[in-house]
Amino acid sequence: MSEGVTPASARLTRRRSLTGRPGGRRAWRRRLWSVPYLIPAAALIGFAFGYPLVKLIDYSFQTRPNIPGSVRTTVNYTLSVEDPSFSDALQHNLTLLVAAVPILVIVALVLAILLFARGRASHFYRSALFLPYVVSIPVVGVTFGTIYSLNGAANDTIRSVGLSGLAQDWLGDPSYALFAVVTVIVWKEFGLGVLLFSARMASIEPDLYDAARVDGARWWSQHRFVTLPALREVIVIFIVIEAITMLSWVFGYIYTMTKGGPGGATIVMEYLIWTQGFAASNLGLASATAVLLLGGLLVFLLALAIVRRVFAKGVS
Amino acid sequence: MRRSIIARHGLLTLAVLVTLAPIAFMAMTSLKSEEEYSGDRVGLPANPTFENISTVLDDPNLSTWILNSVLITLGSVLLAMVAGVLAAYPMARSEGWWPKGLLPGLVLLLAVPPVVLVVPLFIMMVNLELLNSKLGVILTYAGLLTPLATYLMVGFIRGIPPELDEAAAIDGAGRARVLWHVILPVMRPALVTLAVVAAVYVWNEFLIALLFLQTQESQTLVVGVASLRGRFDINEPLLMAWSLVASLPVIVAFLFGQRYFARGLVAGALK
Repeated sequence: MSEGVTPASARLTRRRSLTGRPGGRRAWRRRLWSVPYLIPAAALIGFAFGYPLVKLIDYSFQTRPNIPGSVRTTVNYTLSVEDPSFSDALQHNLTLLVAAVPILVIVALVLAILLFARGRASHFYRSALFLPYVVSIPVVGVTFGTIYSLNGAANDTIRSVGLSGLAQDWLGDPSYALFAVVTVIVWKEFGLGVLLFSARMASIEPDLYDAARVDGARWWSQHRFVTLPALREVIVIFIVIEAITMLSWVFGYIYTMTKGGPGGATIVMEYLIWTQGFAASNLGLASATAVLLLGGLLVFLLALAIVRRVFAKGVS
Repeated sequence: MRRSIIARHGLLTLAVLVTLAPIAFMAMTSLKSEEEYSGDRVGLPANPTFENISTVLDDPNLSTWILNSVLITLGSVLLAMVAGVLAAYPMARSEGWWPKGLLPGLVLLLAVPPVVLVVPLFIMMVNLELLNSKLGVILTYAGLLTPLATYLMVGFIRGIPPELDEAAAIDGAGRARVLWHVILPVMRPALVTLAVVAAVYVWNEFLIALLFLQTQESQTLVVGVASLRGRFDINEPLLMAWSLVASLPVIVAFLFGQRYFARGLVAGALK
């Protein structure tokens, strides 16, 4: 028995040192055991992200990507930025962000708080509220396209309550189309917020609420002073996720509901890239617009990270 | 106290009604005939008919599109899971900067929208003659999912006490055996979680499927249904029947795998 112990513990310490502190060339070589494990992921990421990102920048500086005789140029960037659709699209993405994100946060917050008081029915509510999040965007777009059409269910409902004057061609009128899209995105996305907020709230110490109650805090004060501070971090995460969504993940809604119309009233950056690259077959121009979008996103994320760091310093 | 409970359930019921209304509209309209729909677009179907649903079920495109969606989903999810688990293991267990230091890069990739990748990917597909092939989109989806898969799995493996690894190492197990016989069995719920989240993503994905699968025979179910809107031979009730049939698999999968799906999204966002 005692004979078996020594080699085993020796092996244990040896293995510990494998992952231990870096110490010269031998330690470095020992860490290389991870390389074979990383190869499949590296290959797939290289296929879907690495090589395409390198080529994207390359193509954005070419007149006719992938065609012999293509010339290096910066004209794609000038053309992209000078196209009036570019500023329209950018403006629409920002409108989506400013309009949809606050509504999403508030709706999700209210519902998460309402769900929090555990009842037997909570499970049913939770599933029902989350359902839109799993339905695919094109199906959502097709369904809402039918609901919002001039002779659709939305207008029929409005007319049936005697408000015929308010019936509109929701997706076909430039002054309403973008906001009709906002309602659809909010309907589809708020479930994620409810889920994230509920998950965080479930881990709040019940003692905190008891203590607040003992201190005489009513319903609102309990949530103001216990729930909201606990949720601060996850609210920020939800805002970041949704902001990125509004800037660069809404193609499916636009393609299936409005095709960027009417008259460009709902064109967004993704749809612009798609039009330039695949409807007008100008892959160089589309690449330049894509580089600008990606660059803008990175700057946005960087700014956000800096703001958060400054805030965190200010608090502590 | 009583009043507040009533208010709470009232508000939640209202929210649920608003949430479910469009889905109910989809289901109810699919049970109406075209004439009934043009007369009453909002109400319950007075004479429910399964004609639209059976038209959808009899359409030869349906089985093709379902098969495409299933194969593409299975292939890409499996690939991403294998790559993710393998890469996550050394990342979760390393104490030095390598390969743990790759993690922030993965997180950054999560924010890269597919739309910026489609131009070069499209040219790649053309050059590799993978346009309209399942292999092309499977590799693309697997690649797009790998950062998320790796990231989620790192979180889960970190939650497994390293003493388990060490105990197995004492018994003489190498790294591969530790991963296969110790880590993987403990990780089964995490793997289901990842599979559910990834499968819903692939099943529902639109942009890449739209661009890289351009023939009717190669399309996925979701793209197929979206392409029906505006076609002259499709009326609204039939379109809603198609939408319903395309949504049912995910809705059913969600209702059964809800716990896993929720856990996956929470882990992805909060860890």
